Amino acid sequence: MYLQRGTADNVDAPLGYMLLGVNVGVTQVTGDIVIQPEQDFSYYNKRFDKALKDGTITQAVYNAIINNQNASRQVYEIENDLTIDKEELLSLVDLHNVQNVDSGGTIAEIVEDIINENLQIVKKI
Amino acid sequence: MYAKITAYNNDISNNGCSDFSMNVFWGDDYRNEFYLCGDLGRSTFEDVIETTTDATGQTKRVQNTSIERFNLSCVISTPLLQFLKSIDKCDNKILTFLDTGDSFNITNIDIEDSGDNLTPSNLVNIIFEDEPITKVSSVVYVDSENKLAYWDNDNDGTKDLNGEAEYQSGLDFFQSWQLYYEADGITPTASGDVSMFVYGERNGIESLIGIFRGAFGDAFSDSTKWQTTQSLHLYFSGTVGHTNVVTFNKRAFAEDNGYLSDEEEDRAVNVRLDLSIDGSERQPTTCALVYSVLGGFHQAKITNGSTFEYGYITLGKADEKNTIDTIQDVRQDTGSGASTLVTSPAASSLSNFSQLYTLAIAPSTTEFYYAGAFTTNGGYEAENGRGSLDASSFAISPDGVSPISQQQNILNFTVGATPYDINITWRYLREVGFPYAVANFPNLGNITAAGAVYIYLDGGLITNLPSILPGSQDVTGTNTITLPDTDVHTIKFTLTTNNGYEIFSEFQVQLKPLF
Repeated sequence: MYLQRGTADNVDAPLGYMLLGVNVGVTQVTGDIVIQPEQDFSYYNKRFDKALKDGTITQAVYNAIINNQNASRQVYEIENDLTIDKEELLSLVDLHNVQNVDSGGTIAEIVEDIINENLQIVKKI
Repeated sequence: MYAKITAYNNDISNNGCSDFSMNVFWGDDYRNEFYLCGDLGRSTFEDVIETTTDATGQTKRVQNTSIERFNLSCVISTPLLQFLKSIDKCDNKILTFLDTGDSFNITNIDIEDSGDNLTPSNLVNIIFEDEPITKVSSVVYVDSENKLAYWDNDNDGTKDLNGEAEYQSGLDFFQSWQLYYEADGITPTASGDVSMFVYGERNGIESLIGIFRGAFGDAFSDSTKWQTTQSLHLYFSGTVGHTNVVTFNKRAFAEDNGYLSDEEEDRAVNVRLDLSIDGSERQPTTCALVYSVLGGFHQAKITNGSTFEYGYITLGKADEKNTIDTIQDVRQDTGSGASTLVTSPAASSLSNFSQLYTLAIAPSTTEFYYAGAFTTNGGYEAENGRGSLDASSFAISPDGVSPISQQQNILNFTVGATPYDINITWRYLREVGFPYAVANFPNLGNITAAGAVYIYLDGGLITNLPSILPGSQDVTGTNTITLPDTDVHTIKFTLTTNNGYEIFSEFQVQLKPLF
């Protein structure tokens, strides 16, 4: 898990990683994968086959990519109720001097605080 | 025909200098010049057949070489003859035709001399070669009645000879368009046997890595049309046809086949595509080197607010880290002056663009000034000056949560942004935190005025950072720095406090071929 400055519109989670978010009520942590523009090369989908076989991505992620990829970059929700290690999250907040984070809040609230600081939380799926 | 022969040795500063002398001084760039009057005569050829021995012991011809030799007949006298007899001992021998001014480096000079005493009117034949004429590539026979194939690199409908394919930065592929004509070079043709030869080129050495052979309508992604050991069909798309586009994903090809550079090794190659129809003369287009940026980008500060552990975050572009090879970091007590040197960090991976190096723990309740310097595994140097007081850091540097941003592109780009622009998100920290809210870095001091923080490139001021004020504790921003060329350059973020301390980070950067 790491932090990267930016929004979900411009931070690219690598294959096998997701961007954390929160639901409308800020009660649950969500996970979004970034589906890059599909390319017309034979190698392209073979890479996802390989990533599925070697465990880099799950079957759910594989299906989400294959079924939804098109000519544009997309942010696609893959998880809607994630369990996150609060201490790991707070250690990243400390490492990077993230301001305005209420460490006493719920995990979803901390995630929201971090996002409000123009940061994305990138986590391995 | 009038000519002049000049012969001389290289000077002693040149490694190729010959230590040669006769009755006259010849060394150290001394030049002899003699003027000739004679007849160039007719050139002759010497044929040399080069052979090799195969595994069965049989001799096999591998190359025929024809060396053209010229006969120069001239009236000659004794001093000149002595000069000519020893001319091969000179490093440089130049024949200049005075009528035209043309000069040739000449070699393998033979003097036709029977040994008689010469009179001023004796005729002597001088036989020499200019630059050796050696066949270095296969003979290509061109049928002038044949169809013609060309590349159109910008899709404007006209052929581009020996140019560069268009790179689509961001999508990592090159593209060019095919043009096929009848023998008149004007009438488009819709049929023919098309070949595309794919070469990898590096430092003047080329190697054939695949051949596509197909007819109109065939896909370049059809593996049955290829002879290749590097699965080239995976990285091409498009079909054979007049004005059809061919695309080649060079990044994926480079990643899969070992041509992707990293910070320690440059493995990038030019990929040249030679197009031909029905055996016509091959026309090349080049998928040129795509440049990324490497350097000593880093942020140094307190890395654990509870323990006051401090360290470095080194940064790069996404999937292109810069890592530390050697480091020296001195922590100096701003009160007592006592200092501690740390040279052995503990490394851990933070992200696909950053690496964390923790150095030591700063004792509490003490204000420190740090002077750090390191070299990356790519050979780039970096330095910084910074401060800390417990959990609070005082530093100006690239932002530890922002990858370096640069549009990877070819140098002669026609699409996308210039690769010479480096976008660096920086962060200014002058935290006034627990438990020293009042202390406020009493020894190090503060920024002298609003915006008194500067960015330099190679010592020249680029800009100041007006958003940083004396009361600022945490400010980020992004600036674009344009590198002038692909040499190593130095970027510096700096401020000098009202107590005379320099808070800065400085690092070398360079555009490097990625693939």
